[in-house]
Amino acid sequence: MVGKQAIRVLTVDDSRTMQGMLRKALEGGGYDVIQGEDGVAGLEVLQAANPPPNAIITDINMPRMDGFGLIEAVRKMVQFRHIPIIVLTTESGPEKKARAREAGATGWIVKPFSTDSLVAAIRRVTA
Amino acid sequence: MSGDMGDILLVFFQECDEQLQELERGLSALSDGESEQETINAVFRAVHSIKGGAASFGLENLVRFAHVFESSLDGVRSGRVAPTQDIVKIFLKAMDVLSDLVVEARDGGPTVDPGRVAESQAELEFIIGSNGEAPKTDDIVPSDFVPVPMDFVPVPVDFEPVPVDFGLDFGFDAAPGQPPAPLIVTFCPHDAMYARGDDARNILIGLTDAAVAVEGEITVTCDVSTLPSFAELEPDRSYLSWRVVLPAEVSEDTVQSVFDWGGDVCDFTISREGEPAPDGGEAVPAMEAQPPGEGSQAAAPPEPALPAVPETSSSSGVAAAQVVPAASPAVAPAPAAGGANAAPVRRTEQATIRVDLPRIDNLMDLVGELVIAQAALESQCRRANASMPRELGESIASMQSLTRDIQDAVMAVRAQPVRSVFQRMQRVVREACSMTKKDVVLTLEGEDTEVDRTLVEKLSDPLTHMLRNAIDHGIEKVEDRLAAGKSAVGQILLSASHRSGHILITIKDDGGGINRERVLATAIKRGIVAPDAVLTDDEINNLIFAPGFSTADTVSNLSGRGVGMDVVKQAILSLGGRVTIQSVPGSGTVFCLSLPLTLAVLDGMLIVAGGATMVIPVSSVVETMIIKPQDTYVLPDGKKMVSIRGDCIPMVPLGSQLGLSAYVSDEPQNGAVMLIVENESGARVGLVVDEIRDQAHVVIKSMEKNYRRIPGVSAATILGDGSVSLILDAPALIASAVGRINTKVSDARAVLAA
Amino acid sequence: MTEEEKAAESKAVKMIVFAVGDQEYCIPILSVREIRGFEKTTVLPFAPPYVCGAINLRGIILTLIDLAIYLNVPPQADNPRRVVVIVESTQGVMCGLLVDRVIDMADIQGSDIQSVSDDCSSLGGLVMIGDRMIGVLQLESVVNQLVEGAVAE
Repeated sequence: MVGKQAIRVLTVDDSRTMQGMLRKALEGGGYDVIQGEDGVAGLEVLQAANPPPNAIITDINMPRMDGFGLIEAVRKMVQFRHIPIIVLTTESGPEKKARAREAGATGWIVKPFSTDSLVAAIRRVTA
Repeated sequence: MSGDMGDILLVFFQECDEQLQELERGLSALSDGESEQETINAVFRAVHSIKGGAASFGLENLVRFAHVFESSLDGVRSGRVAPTQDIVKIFLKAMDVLSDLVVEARDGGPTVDPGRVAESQAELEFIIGSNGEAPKTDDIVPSDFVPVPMDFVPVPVDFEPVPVDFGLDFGFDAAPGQPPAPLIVTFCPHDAMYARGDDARNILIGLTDAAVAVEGEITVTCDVSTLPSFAELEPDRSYLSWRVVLPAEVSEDTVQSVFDWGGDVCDFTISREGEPAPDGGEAVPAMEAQPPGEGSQAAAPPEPALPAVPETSSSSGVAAAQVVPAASPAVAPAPAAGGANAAPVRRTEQATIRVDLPRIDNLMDLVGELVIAQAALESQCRRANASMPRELGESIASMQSLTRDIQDAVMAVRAQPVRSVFQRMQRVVREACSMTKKDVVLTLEGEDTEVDRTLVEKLSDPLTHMLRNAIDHGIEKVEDRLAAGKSAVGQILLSASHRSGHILITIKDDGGGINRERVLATAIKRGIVAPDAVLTDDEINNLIFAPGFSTADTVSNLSGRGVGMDVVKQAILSLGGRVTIQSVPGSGTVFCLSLPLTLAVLDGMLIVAGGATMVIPVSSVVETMIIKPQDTYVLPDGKKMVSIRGDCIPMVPLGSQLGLSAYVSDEPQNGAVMLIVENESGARVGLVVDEIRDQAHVVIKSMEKNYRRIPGVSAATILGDGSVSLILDAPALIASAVGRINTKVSDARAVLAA
Repeated sequence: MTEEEKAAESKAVKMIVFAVGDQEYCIPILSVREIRGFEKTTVLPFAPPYVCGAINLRGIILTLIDLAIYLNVPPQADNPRRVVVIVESTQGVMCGLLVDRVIDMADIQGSDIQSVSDDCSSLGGLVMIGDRMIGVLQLESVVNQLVEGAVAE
């Protein structure tokens, strides 16, 4: 399924720090990274991306459109509704998980994440 | 730390500054009684982001405090706590602590007083506690988290699955004894798993990883018994169930974590070979559409499963290729589906980009060159052909106006609203209030007024001192205010506006005004003015700027932080600005600062002295006049004085003062021009020059980059003919003329040359 | 002697050779930015005698050093074709060296440089090219003197 081309991951986070860390971790892992700074920008980047990303990592708490909104919007898009989406969350409480699942998230990563756990998570949904 | 990580850390601190500004803005709005949910969200988000980033870098103090802060803000966000004035005050105080903790993390500098942190934390916890939810400060950073992966190691071959969820939701204990038998995992995904972008394949990868970690492998059996006939197959539904045998060394916990994400949308069991599976059996699909496999019973998923009602609408046609997606639907997005459901999202905000400052500075330099080159072109054309063809003249004129437009445009790029520095003043006021036990509200106006960014940064110190001064000396004690019929809460207005190429900043308080009798008495006592001096009100007001006016025994704890108002005035002057005071006894004082919009160009007066053309900042020149011989007087040591409306001031022949003696005619010619210049303490000197040639905007260039400091010179510029011209440092010239050591000269020069 | 100097000694350095008065000097070609004609300078107050003044080089302000005065060599009389060698030090400080004439270029082995007395810090040594004796100018020390020179306040 996956050709020679690098696997592409869209990361959506309003924190430039977090975006920097995601990019470093993922690019270090050989992934091609595209980024959006909030839900709205994330959707724009997603729709404009060619080739489209193989997975999305998104923060939850963002201005304009939060992570849940983003996931719900993506799940409604015919061409993207099966894309794996991993949310970044600072809490691992069942409430947050239930909310993420309900919105249609494939999985989650608890912040702060280590490079290994991040790459493992992405590998699991894109390998 | 690897460069990459260092860069990200830099970005983090940059972002902290921005978030703190956002926080300040939001809290100020709340303090003004606003209660928009978006404001509250923004405030929450700011603290949340700082915490998130700090955790990634293992900045524990910062994380711990931010966490409590965030928890208390969450109370407001969720509506459990009303943002009353008292609560907002606690938040403002916490913001100051947070900001200091950020500085501490960044500079490693003076440690924030733990008592202060604890106090603020206790207040925040009180907010949380008051609605019965205790904050958990442990486990903010998972114990197995290694902060800051310094150097990335590509996916290791002996990959050990890191539990992607650090929560301990599941009551499973680690395998109690020796792993006795191979582990058997069965699972059967629901349709909902695919609707979430997950896939049975992903679970198989997770299980494979678990096996590889113990150097084993897995055996997978796929049960296709429920697969309907091709005609009945619905591509969005799940029909397969799986049985996986893992090596005995794999623990149940590890497998459990593989199902952490998707456990609610698939039925799964974990058991040891030979043991009965939990609840005595292997996986049974929960859906009626799928007959039970191998006569086993369904295992209870660890978390309540969503009702497994097939919710996906089946697509109309069944394509052969879509049999496969049941196994791997996630990877291939339907090509060119047209995005019918994807509502186009329009940006409502203005797009912005970040540009490194040196690039803009470079652009600014180049524009400066352009201005000079175009002036040179013009003067050469004129010289070459006195009767320039009209077309050429017009072309040059239009180029001139374009050049000026470009210069303005680049200046606009460098311009920044004064908001950031104005907002910082809220804190200054809060702190000053708490030290003086006064209650003062600072109102900001015109925060969007833009000035060159180099100047924005330099405003902070003078404004800080002036506000402290206003609270300490301007605003009266509460009882005095009440006695005077004023409200107990003092008012200070800090405003900015543009005024004919300058920025005008006013600090207006509703305090008691300057007590001129006392100021005069103090000044006389300190020997600043003669005991019998007769001064105007304005002159008395300005005495507070005199060096030595404020001394240790008159300044309080607060404004006595080592700076007097003379330093403020010096700072303003060194920025090429002016400061004036208006004060009405009983009703308050207004300080007006007038500053240039930029430190990159300067409004200069082109003068000739000692055969050289030089530039003196217009802001240093009080007035210009023609010297009348009858007004001059020669002292016994040869120095000359001149009388200006009764005041005797020293005359300084600029050429010889600068050692440009070759051309100097020591006798000021009748008709020579004198510039009266003034320094921060009001000392005046008359600079004698040969000629005033012009006024011009000049681009400031450093002399020290390729040379050294020159006494009496602050910087240089390039004139229209391409020649270098020196920019004079008036305070330094005055200092050397009046023989007083001016310690601030070098600062002034640095500022001017920056 | 540092490693760097040892390495330099064994390697040939391309030098530009110029005349000041009737003496010849050289500096590494890599430190030369450009060579231009002498032009009018802006006189600087309190400058040492060897500083002729400041010029504008495409927006960069730099000073000219009259090497004849600096090196205490009688300049060629009435030379209308003096040139300015614009140089940049390793610290990025630029200045112009006013010389009588640029002669040529030469590859000079570090090992061929014969050191002279230590009290002449601006001269790193002498080198023979054929029968010409050429002074190796220590650019860094010239520039340092220019930038750090004590200012008479």
